[in-house]
Amino acid sequence: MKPAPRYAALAVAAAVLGLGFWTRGRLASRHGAPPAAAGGQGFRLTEAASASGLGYTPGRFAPHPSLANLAPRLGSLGVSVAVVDFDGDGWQDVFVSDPARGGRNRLFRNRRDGTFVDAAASAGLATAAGEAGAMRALFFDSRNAGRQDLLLTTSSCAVFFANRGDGTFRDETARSGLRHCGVSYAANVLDFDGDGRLDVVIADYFKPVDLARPSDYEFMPDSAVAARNGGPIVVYRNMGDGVFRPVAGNLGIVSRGWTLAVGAYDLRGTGRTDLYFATDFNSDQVYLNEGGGRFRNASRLVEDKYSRNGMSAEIADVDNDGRAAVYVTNIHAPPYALGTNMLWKWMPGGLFADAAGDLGIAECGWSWGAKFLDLDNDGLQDLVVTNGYISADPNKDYWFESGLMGSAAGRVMRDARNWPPMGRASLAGRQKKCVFRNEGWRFTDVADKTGWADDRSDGRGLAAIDHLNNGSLSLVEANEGQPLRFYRNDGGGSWVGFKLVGRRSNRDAFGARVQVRLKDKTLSREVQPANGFMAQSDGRLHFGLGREPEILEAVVRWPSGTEQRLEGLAPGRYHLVEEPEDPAPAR
Amino acid sequence: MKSFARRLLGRVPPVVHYPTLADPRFISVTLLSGLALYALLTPAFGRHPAQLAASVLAWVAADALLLILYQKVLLVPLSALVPSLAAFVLVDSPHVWPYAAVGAAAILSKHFLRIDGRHVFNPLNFGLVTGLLFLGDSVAFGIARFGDSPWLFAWTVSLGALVTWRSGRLDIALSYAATFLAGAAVRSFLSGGRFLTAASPATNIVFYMYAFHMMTDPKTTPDTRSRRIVFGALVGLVDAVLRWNGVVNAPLYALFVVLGLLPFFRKGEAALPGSFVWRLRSAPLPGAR
Repeated sequence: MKPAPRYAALAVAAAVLGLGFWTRGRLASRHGAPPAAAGGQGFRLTEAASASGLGYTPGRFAPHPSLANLAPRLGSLGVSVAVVDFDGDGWQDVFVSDPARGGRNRLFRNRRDGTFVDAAASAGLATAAGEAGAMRALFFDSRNAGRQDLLLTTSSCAVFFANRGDGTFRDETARSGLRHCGVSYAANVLDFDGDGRLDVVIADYFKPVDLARPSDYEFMPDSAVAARNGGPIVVYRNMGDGVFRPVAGNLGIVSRGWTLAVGAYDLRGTGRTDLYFATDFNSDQVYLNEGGGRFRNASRLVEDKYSRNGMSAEIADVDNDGRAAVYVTNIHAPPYALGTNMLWKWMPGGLFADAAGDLGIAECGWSWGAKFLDLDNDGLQDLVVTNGYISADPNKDYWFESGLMGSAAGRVMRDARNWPPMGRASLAGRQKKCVFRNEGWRFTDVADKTGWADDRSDGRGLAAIDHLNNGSLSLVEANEGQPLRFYRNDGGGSWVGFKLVGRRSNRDAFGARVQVRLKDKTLSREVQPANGFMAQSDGRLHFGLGREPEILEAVVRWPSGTEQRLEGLAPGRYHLVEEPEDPAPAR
Repeated sequence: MKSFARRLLGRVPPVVHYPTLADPRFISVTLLSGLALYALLTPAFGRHPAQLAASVLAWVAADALLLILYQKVLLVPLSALVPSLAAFVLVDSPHVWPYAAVGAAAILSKHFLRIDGRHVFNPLNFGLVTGLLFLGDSVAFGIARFGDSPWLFAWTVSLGALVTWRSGRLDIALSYAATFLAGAAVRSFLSGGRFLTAASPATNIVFYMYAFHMMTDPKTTPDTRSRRIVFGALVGLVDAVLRWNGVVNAPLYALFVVLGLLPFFRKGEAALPGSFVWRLRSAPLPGAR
């Protein structure tokens, strides 16, 4: 053999590797490219947290020192945001949880002039989590009394605070029966048995473990794609007067754990609320409501798919055809993780079909919170997705170590002590967010043009709010251990809104659907403000009317089955709609 | 069919090479078919039959076509079928086309990156490395998809070890494994981490697929035992260095680098046909005079 050919083989190897890694580097820098110039959209979002009095940086949850190797990861989730009118003045306020142990939550009261002021201490919610870290905040009217009570999951056990109706809350955890112990990022409410009272679903991530004082270290997932060793999903029935009890049989819901979001919505147009559980390290779970308090496990319909890191369950009628679709965020971080976000839509024939790729909303980094809302009031719901996992030292990343453990045998992976120290390493940090504008047949990412281009936060919860009651939906973004962001929407356009009050149904009207009929289309929304990830949005229903501001009629379908027609509605305002006391069943 | 084959084969004596039943690649086909079936039937794998079809067709068709065009022979395509099944299991992608692309790249390297009549790079390794480097938006290494099934583990290790032993390449796998474990011990000592953590790749089935089906390919490894042991140890050493530097998918790149040195390992070894050949039986092309 001549020497030249021998060196040629080595040269080929060097050339392939050199060119390959250089190309990959170029690809990575392209993903982090600076934004294009702003302008040209039907709306403009301006970051105005500090100017609006929402300047706040929540802490991070810190586990026990024996878990220092995983501290950044275990402290990477916890912050949540909830939009609520806690004082019943008709103006939307903002609650933000503080995941730091013994931290202080914020309850920003709306001052009706575009600014907010913290009222958490006077309301009695600043230290609601005690010495634990506050996590998922969920406001709802547990007694149908016209007051928003607070269920707050923590790093230890959930707490429940009843709203006194005078702007203050009192701790009724013990009495309520909602002292749910476990690390829960996911919770939602629905009236599953149709008794007019809101029941509660809490889904844990980890199996029961006290991260502040662990006695068992085998609480990490035992598989990257098929883990079943997480915490339980528990359904609590509302017995009335603010008292809850676990439901016998748990509605047949199987607990595998690692749930990150509980989505509630009528997915099939039956008038009943179905449940979607976005699940990490496994496929998601779907339970279809068959009525009479019976649920059918339909998880196999969304099982055979590539992506296995369900984070958020945001649900809306995206294309105004009257049928809802579930947007589930996932991890898209090539070349390490190739999962994509999905949009599951119930199809005739009893199947869920994923349309995210066709609509151009499948990829948005390591995605977390997502929110459908009509930003430009054109009658089409746009989609905002926040992302980014852990932004620490930009020159160190944890992908190698993460991959090492992700591919280890279950008995190795589940022991937290086996995980390599994360230190100051980053993991999918500093990612560009996505603002997908709904073009009718496809979405276009216009983040660069809407004032959201510079945001590289570790985003978690996204909540929509009309803080000025003027029909422009703004967004609050909760970021883990980083400043809260408030994207004020200065857009305009024609709109109409509804504040529903149930009488026979639950007073918050969770599960009620409103259809607004215009000249050539019908818009549909359901009262489900607590979908998404670690967020609760404005509980009123908002409809952009586009170029057809004439409303022919609106039809409300209440959870009780009552159908109510509204005519002569004026655009440009919120309409208070109360459920008729006399039943007129439409089902 | 006869005239078409003759036109392709031209004046070269028309022969078809059949594998004998003693050919160890039949064991590989059995092993990998089992894994491919498992991948198809396990939802957590996220695989689709179209991806299997794309992989097998790309490998087999490209190999058969290039063999006919450039070597004027017909082969029962075991050499392409085996890595096509492995690629289906190891390539992780939500799309179908990357399975064909990886196969095409691999077969092109097999036929065009040759020295002294032998290909240098292991086609499966070449396909995976180029796929990961150049198609990184769509191709990942599917190492996290395997579960904890002890039956699957036993299936992979036992049949893998058998085929490697029958191919006379078990020394490479053992040499690599020993070096890998030594590297894991050194890394855990230097970093203060647990040995179990550093050695955890050995708890994954893919470690054994790699050791028994990629780095021990008789066509792309030295023929003498001492050189094979050095070859395996060198792959383990480069692997350890890459892991120390946090390179994801280190074993694939380690083998790729060391295969770049393969011609140096082969220096002085007997040229074909003295070196390894699969156990084939030749026969006239059916219908040939």
